[in-house]
Order: sequence, then C-alpha cells, then structure tokens
Amino acid sequence: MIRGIVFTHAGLGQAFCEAVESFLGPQEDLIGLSNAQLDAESMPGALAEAAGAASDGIIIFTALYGGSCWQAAERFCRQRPDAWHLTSVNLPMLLAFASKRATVSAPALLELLRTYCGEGVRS
Amino acid sequence: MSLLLVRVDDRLVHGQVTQGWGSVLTPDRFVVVNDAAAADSWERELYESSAPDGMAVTVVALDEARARLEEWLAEGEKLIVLLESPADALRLIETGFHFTELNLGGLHQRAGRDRVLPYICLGRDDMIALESLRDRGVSVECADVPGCERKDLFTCLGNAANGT
Repeated sequence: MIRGIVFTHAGLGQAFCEAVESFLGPQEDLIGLSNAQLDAESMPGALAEAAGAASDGIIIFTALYGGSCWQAAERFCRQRPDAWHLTSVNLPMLLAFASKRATVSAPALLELLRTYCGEGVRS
Repeated sequence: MSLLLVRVDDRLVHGQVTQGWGSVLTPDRFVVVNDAAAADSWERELYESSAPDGMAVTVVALDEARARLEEWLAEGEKLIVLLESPADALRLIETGFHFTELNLGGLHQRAGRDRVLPYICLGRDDMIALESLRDRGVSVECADVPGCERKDLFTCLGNAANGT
C-alpha cells in the first residue's frame, strides 16, 4: 500500500485525513502530520517516523508551496528514493489518492494526481 | 531605500514569512543571511525557489551580507532580512550593517532553551547576543505574525522575573 502523509500547518493534515475517511471509511497508511512546535531540525525526524518503512512508496502532501512543510518534504524526498512530494493539497486530491493507490505505482499515481487535481481547479 | 524587517526565525523562509509578513509588507526581496544555506547549492536553490510570485528570495553568507544588502537598498529595493539566530543578528551588525529594530519571530524549543513566549525559546547564547544587540541600541520586539500583539522582549523577561 502506498503511504500518504499530509504534512501541513496546525491541525489541517489530520482534518484532511478525517474528511477522507468520512467519504471512504477508515484508511490505513494515511497520516496527518502537523508542523506545530517543530523547528527545521526536527521536521526530518518527524517525517521519517511517519514514513516508517513503507514498501510501496510514500507520497507526501503539503499545502503551501515554499513553506516549511514543503521545504522539509523536498529535503526528505532527496534522501528517500521511494518518496514523492505533491503540494497544494486539497480534498479531491486526497480522495483520488485514497481510492486509486491500491491499483497503480507511486510514480504513476503522482502523475495522475497532478493531472487530475490541476483539471479539478475550476469556477 | 527601505529595510522593512530584520527577523530572527529558525525556520528562515516559511509560510508565516512569505504569506504573512510578505503579504503585509510587500518586499521586493527576502534576504536569507545564513552561512550554511549559502554554502550548500541544493539548500540555496530550495530557498530561492520558494519565493512567492513577484518577490525574490536570495541567500547570502554573513561575510557578503553587508555589501549585498547595501547594494539592494541603494537600488531602492524593499527588503526583509531573515536570520537563523540572535548570534547571527549580532554578527550581521558587527559587519557594520546598521539596523535599529529586530523582530524575534520563531525560536523553537530545544535543549538548553527556556520558553519566553509560545513561539520564542531562548538559551544562554541567545540571551548574550540579544543583550549585546540591545546595548548597541537595537530594540528587540517579539511578533510571529503581523497581526499579533508586539511585545518588547526585555519587558517580557522583566515581567517574567517579577512574576507579573
């Protein structure tokens, strides 16, 4: 199973995970992680702990391009070849992740999410 | 020329800085003054690629900071300067770069530091540097985000010592 980590500010990551579960039911390997009280030095350890030893890959979702979570995710993915990072997380992105992650590889899923969610921004 | 903010924040560039202070003060450039980041091309590119639209992020080492900052200010740029620690702020002023106000925006808990405010934890080395800055005429104000109440650091410390 591809592991998802929603790494954001305040309680947003956990709230996103709860919202996904309200649509799709309980989710394994979907983790909300907050940067609250974490400094730059402690973020990599927090991400590593959340990532564990996931065998099918890890996708880290962050909310704010350029923010501290985004930076930490970029640094983490540089060290972990089985980890990928996607920013500007939203609920449709996470629903697509949760519903499709059992059927495709992590790189393919990342590309699918990028396309799917880019097209999903509309008014 | 306009030096909008000189800020100590151990996360350097992050959302509170770019989205919070950036949207209120609208700098042309965030200048990260940090030797470690300046010495690592990957880290430097990471910071410099995190700039919001219409603003730049530039990483410089401490020994080149004064010249670069004065050059940008002379060209009329509006700057926000970001430093990792009070010691780096002291080192910057010791280079001859002049500023009169220092914003303490984020120093997180770690061994040897005591919490002063929810977003400010200070250790002995931090206090030595901050007292030296104060003795050089720099006022030290605590504010993590633009909309919060500004607090003078030494008033906070005095109140804490007096139990008020």
